[in-house]
Amino acid sequence: MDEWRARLRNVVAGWGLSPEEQTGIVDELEQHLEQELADLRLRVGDAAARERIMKQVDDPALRDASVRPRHRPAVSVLSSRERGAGVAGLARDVRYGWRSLRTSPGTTAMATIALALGIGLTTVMFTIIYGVLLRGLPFEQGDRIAMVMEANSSRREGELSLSMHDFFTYRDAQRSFETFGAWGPITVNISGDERPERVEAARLTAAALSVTRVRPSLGRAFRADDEAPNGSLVVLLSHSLWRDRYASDSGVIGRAVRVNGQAATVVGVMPDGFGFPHESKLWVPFRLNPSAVPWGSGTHVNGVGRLRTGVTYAQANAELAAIAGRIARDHPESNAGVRAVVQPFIRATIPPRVYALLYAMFGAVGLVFLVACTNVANLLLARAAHRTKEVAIRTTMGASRAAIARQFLVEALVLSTVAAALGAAIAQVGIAAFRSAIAGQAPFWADFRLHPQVFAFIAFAAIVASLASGLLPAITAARGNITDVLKDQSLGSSSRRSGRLSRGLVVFELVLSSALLVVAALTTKSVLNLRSIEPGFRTRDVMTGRITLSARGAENQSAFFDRVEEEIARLPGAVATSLSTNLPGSGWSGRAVAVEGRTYSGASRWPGARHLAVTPGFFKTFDVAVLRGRAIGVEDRVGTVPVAVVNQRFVDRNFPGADPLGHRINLSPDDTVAQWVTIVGVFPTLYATDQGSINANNPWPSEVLTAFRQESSGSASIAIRTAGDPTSVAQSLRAAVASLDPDLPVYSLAPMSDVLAQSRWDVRIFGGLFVVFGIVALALASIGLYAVLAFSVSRREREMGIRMALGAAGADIVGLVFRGGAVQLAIGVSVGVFLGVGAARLAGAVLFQVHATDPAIISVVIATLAATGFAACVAPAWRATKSDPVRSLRSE
Amino acid sequence: MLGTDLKKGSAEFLVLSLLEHERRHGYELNKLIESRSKGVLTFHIASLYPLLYRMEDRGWIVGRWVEKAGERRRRFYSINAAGRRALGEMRDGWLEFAAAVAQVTGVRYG
Repeated sequence: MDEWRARLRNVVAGWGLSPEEQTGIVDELEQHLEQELADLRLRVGDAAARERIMKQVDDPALRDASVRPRHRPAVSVLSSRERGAGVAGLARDVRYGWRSLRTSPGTTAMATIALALGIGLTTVMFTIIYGVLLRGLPFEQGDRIAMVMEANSSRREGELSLSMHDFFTYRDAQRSFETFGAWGPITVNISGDERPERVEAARLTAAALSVTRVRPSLGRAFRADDEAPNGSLVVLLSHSLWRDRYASDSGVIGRAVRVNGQAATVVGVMPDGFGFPHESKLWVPFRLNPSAVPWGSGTHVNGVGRLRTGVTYAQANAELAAIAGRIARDHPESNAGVRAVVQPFIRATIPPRVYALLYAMFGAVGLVFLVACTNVANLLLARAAHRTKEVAIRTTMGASRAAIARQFLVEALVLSTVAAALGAAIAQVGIAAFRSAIAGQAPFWADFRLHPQVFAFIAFAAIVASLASGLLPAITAARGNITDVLKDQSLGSSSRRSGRLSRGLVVFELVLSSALLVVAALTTKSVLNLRSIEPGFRTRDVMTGRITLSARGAENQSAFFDRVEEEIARLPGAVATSLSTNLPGSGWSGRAVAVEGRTYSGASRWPGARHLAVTPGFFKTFDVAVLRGRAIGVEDRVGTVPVAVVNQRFVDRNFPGADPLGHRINLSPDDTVAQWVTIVGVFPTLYATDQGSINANNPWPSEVLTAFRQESSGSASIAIRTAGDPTSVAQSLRAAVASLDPDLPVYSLAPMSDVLAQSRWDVRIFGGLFVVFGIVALALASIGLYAVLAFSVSRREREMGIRMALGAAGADIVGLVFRGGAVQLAIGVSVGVFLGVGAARLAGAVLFQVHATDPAIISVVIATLAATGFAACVAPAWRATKSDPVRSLRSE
Repeated sequence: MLGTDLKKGSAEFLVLSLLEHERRHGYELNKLIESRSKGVLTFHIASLYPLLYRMEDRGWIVGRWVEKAGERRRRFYSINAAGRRALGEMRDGWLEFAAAVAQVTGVRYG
């Protein structure tokens, strides 16, 4: 720039005018001086002409000129209209924005889809969190319903249920709750009228039921006298049980049923959707008799209460803490170190791990949303750079910077609104998929729908999106140096600046998406690992079910199970059958073991093992070979030497290099009565999951199989290996059991393959969601990378042309473009991978047999992004080599 | 060249006269003043533009950006009703003044 121009600007800048006035005046004075310079040059030559111009600019009079800020109402017809603010102005901006977006449909569509995906996914996660955590219990003032539990800090135990004695002490002493009751989970066999069925139920005191303020839709609720230990047993039915089992018969009240073999009367039916406290389908009164057992022993209960109006959780906690302190003083032997914990019901019910996971996923999806916003910001920025001329004209026509910025924001808002509508549709689909994936696993109060609050969230997301994506382009455009742009068409400073900005945005985007990709890839591998896992036992063509005997003597139990096995062995289509305490895979129970003749320094040093008791048929049913020794045989019955078959892993850990056969191990070293079993065989290690735990620490643990007939168990899992479709035997299995005991239901009927898949449903669902997030993030980052590279190349077409004119080969140009992209890629990906690994450690909950720093995964992520970046470079680079040097030079 | 005071007092008069029949931009105004006064009257931007903006503020003239195809936009000034009234008053005043001066000094316009 000529020196005089710079000085002129300085002088005018000192006048204290608004930026737009300043721009106009500088422009006007510049023109004047330029023209004068041209005239003078002809008369006195260039140097003298410049000197005279400079003199005018440096004239102190100019510096001191008192130019009051002018209010030029009639600067131009257009500007006065443009200045319009308020609703009319906004409406015009929206119209203009819509028109302007339509002029570049490709960009607009891409940005809209990107944002819609971002908003859609975020909305899905919000709907999940809202539905299960935020919305609360579907009861009147559900947030006032609290769970009362205990914690023992000295033993580092949290969330313990209360002993009956503690419960009654709290109940009688407390003033914080208007109602205070107890409940306990229970599973019952219901029979006596229809086919036997096993249902999740709850024992509730009358007060615990009234905490919800929900009345039965039919019949009556529990009364205090229902809790009398010797009164007649009554039950309440859930709506679904009433509908499915009793065909919604309103005459069900008064009907006699058997609950766990005990006679009971139906007194009421609860309304639809009521499952308090734990997906319960049936309720029985909680009969507590604290005087029958010593303090601290006997049945334990969960306390539940409704806070009195005006009482806070902090106050309730303080009051119950004081009561707990008194109990601990009076009964130190059972209650030393025991504190009371009062928590909102949902908070206390959802495991903290799930809380953390849900919010971690919300964070992850927030990153996807951010990637989408960045993308849109980038696309808008590119548009802004292409529109510098348009903006300059609008500015000189009198549009203020604020108006220009507003116009860009409104465009972003128009785009976000369309994206939000699309996002809502995506969310609807996503939620439907999630609902069907999670069917039966969600707590009873969870309601995953597009609630009005979810729509409010979508609207909020749209506003955030329009600000996040529109602000930067708006500011850039408004700051654009108008005179430069108008003066010549060469690259103005504004486009250089927006180039830097958008390159920065792409790096940011790459960081986010590579971080997400790392997490997504790790969880994908986890899900694949789970899918392809070879459990070491047969899962195909095996039907399973479970029976639980109501109270009867041990001998009767054993005899009954013998008859069950005989019956099912005769079923048509049954190739092999077995009974076991539980099913392999998710059914292993953990216990400590001790090898005979060894000393262990303490309880924590006993080796652990997973245990199942099985009948001889187990090995054939599940195709488990015996490597050494023998399997559990028919001869292993009560009265003979108790035996065990251990797995290879057990041998490796406890008998390295030695023969385990003939050695004895104690299966209950922590008990006063030892349970010695003799090892008679070795089998290969079978897959084992932690039941109810998202994180399988070691899926290949030490395992011990003992003889089912040498143990006493009230429940048995039945497994039938079939010749064909395993589900075909379900009906005959039910009939076979019913022929032995018509009151005994067979429940959890499912093919073994489903049982195994079911045990990892959480990883499949949440892992699957992470995969979706990762793919979307990758797609968005690719679009972003491509858009920015294409944009920066298009701005450099002239430079390319000149380079080519000066003899640069096409390869040089491609290399030039590539280097630009490569730097961004390198920075973005390395930072992102680093963050991703950190995040994966936090999200370790959903990782299965994958390490957070898995080199293969990280290479794949880097390779994927590099390939994407490469692809994003190819088209612009190729186009760059096609730029015509002559045309480029001419346009300069 | 004329004394500053005299010029200052007459500058607005000059501008309004030049805009009476035609809209003109700043440089053109300066050029016209210079050429018609045969170089006696010239303005620097330091005096011309603050003057124009002041007159605009006072509501005598209106500045307007005009854009023509293929040309740079320029700011043109035109006189409005208030400006015309002011011009009329200035003319009357000037004539009165000139007559008075003539009478006192014996100078006559050729």
